[in-house]
Amino acid sequence: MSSLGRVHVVLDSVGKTYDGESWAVRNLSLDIPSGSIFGLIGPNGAGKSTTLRMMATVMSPTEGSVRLDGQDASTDPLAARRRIGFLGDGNPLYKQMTPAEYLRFYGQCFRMDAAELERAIDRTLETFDLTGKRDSECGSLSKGMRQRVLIARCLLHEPGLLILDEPADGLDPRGRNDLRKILERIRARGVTIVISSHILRELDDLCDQVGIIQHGRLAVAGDVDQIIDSHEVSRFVYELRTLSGHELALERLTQHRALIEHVGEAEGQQLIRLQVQGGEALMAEILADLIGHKVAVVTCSRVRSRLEDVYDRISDNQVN
Amino acid sequence: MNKLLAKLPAFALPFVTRSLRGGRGRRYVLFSLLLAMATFLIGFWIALGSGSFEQEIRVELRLEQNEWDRQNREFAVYTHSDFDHELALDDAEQMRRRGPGAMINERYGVVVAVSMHGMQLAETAARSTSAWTEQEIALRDRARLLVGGGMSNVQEWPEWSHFSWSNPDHVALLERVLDRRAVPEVRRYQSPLGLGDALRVVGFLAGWILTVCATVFGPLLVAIQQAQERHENTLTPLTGTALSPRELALGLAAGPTTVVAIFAAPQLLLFGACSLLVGDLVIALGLLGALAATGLFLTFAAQLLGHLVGQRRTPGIVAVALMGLLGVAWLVGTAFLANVDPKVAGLSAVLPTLGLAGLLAHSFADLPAGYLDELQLSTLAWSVAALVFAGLTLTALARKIEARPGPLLGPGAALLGALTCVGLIHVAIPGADIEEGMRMYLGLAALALPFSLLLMGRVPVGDDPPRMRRVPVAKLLAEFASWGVAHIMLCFLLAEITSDRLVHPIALLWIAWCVLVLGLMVIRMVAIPATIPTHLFFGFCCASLVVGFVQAVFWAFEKQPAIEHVFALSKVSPVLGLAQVAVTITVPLILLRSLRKTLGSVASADPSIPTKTR
Repeated sequence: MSSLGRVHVVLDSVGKTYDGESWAVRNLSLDIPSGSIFGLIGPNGAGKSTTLRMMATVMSPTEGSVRLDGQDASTDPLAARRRIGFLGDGNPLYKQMTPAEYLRFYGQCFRMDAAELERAIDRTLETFDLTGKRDSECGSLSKGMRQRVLIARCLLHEPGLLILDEPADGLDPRGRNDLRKILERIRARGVTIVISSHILRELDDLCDQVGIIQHGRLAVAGDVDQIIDSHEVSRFVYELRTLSGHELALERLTQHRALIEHVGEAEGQQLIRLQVQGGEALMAEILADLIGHKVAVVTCSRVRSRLEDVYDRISDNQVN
Repeated sequence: MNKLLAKLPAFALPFVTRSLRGGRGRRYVLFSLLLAMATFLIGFWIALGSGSFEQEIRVELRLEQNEWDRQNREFAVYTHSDFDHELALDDAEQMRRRGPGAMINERYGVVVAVSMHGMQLAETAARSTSAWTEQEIALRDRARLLVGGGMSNVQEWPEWSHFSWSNPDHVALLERVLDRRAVPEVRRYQSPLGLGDALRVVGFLAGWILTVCATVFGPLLVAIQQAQERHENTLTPLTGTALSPRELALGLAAGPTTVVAIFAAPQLLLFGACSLLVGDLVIALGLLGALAATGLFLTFAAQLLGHLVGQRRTPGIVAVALMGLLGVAWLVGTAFLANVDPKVAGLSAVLPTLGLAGLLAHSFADLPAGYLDELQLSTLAWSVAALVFAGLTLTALARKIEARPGPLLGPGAALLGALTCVGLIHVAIPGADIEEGMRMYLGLAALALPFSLLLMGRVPVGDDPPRMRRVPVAKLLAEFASWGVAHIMLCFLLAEITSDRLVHPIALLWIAWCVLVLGLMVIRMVAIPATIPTHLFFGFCCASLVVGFVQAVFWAFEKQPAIEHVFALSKVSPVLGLAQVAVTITVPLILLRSLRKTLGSVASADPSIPTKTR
């Protein structure tokens, strides 16, 4: 399946208010490169859905503009929508229709040629592992399968931009895993994907870029690695593996400014993950102390921060 | 089926395909053919069946005379069973042997009763002094011979209390009574209708189903579909497709309408064939035209209703409400039709069910010429107006689906709608037998609702918060008032108003107050979400509007009004008078203050232009 072309999305000082007093989103600027997966993170009510709806041209911003490949999407929303596949929140689905009928219905709404549409339906059902459920009513499908049908609908007309609002909401771990695999397959085709979630682990290693939104404002945005790097300067987490002296090590650590985050076993060795409150110098001091007390330390490595850690650091909200 | 579907326009294809998916199309076709067959059979059964039930239906539909009347007019007794037939034959035989007068006091049955009425006719003819021709004199002499000394015990039938020699029916019946020596003929009951009548009944039934499909089932299904899309939030993803809002509106209507059309198509064929063979083809074509225009308007109107209330109300509630509205419209329409009065025929300009029912009836039966002329003219006016209204409703619906900030109707479209309403009202209100100037005031009262709906379409809406919305209140009020002025001017042009009093300044002031309050209320209703106290206040406003309008009518028609009548309640009590003064001043002020307080601006913006560049 080829896409209509990757789409470069720019949000320029976008704002939206529903009541004229408080702003759901305010002064939001984003630059999403074509072909990337962009994750929009934020707690419930942060303005993610509003932002995505404006990006999908189904809602007009109160201020600012949304540009797709440099063109203001509001000038010709119909043309813009042909390049967008949008899955909003709420996941509405016609439960009496089969996946094939549902896809045919949406394909016709996108004015797809009849023969091409039938081929696209077959191809899409296969891509989403739905061929076996082709003629089952959507209402009888599992939540994960229904979600797949919905995403399949968004991709049927081969958009260059796929916008998914909380696609993993309500899915079990297996469903989430399937979703991740599907998104990776879509990414491989060069489709620009914008995905929102309040479950950070979903997006951590999937997204190229993320934006963290809070109270309708963008807190931080950029490459995932850069964001993590820029926010872990003052956070030092180390993992120690020992052959013997594990109990002694735990006892010695209480003498230092170190917070033990996790104790366990890995590959037959005792493992301690600790956060030190004094940088690398303090860790060297701790290590020397442990060795001095005959603790058999095999490895000592610094653990890289996760997106969730960064979010916790910059957020005053507790997210998952 | 797929080849047929492929010919559909792009906007209709997905929705029609969805409605006919999975073999539904074939099933609908099969059921529609069965329905057509049932229509045919039921039509023939009603027309030709000999059972009492069919007979009752025919009598109710005025296709057949009441059996009692028929027996007396034909001097025959109809029997419905072998037992009754034998009994009646026995009575007739005894009567023949003993003479009709001998049995009057012995037993009472239909044979005796019909015989007595025949004797009554003979007695009336025997007493007649106006027989001039030889044949008439011979008949009168035979009647005198039959009656003999008189029939003092005869139970009178009012119809035969007068005998007219110039009435061929009377003379023929007298001959029959005399020939049969006052003994009625006994016949087995059979329908008096023939094949042509049966085709008329079939055509009428098919036309009725067609009418119900176009004006009830079609709009109802479309409204349910639209309400369901709104209620289950499935419309939002559709707005993100390559179909424009107008195409979506048309497509959403096309899906359910196709289902109804499949059921209506064979009925249309039956109706067309029957009207061609035994009906009035021109009237039938007129009916189809009016039906198409009315169906189109009702479909879009029902769809708009489904869209507006579907988010908060379930499709079932929408269906029940709409069914109630349409049912009442049909009941009122057919009730007016039952009273075949040319004075009310013009009402079909505003009550299309009257016109449709009238044209359907006249396709296969005769209505009085004067009545029919009025009916045709006003139905034609309605049909043209319905097309205008359908266009306006579709525009409003498309804008509502798009949820674009701004008014649902432009100033030109609203003016067109208003002028169309004014035209319809002038067609509907009878010119003759109406007090001078009454057309103006009746018209204003009748136009209040459609004008309010049009004004609602002019108030800028959208997902913008009221605080950020600019509503040009003064301009909208001016538009609203100008529509009323157009009606008043038309009244002047039609030379309706010759008395200065009808445009008395006090009457006009009260009319202006009503326009101001109604306009502000409508703008407030649309522009700002209403709470329960606000709804109560609207109710109070409506009551005060009625009082204000009655005051205007009073000042227009009262011959010697006194100045204290400016606020009529002061005549009842000074306190009430003061209260009326207070209400008159405060109601518009409260409405205006509410608008100024809640909206971003109440002036200077052109409502046809969105408040912000999107």
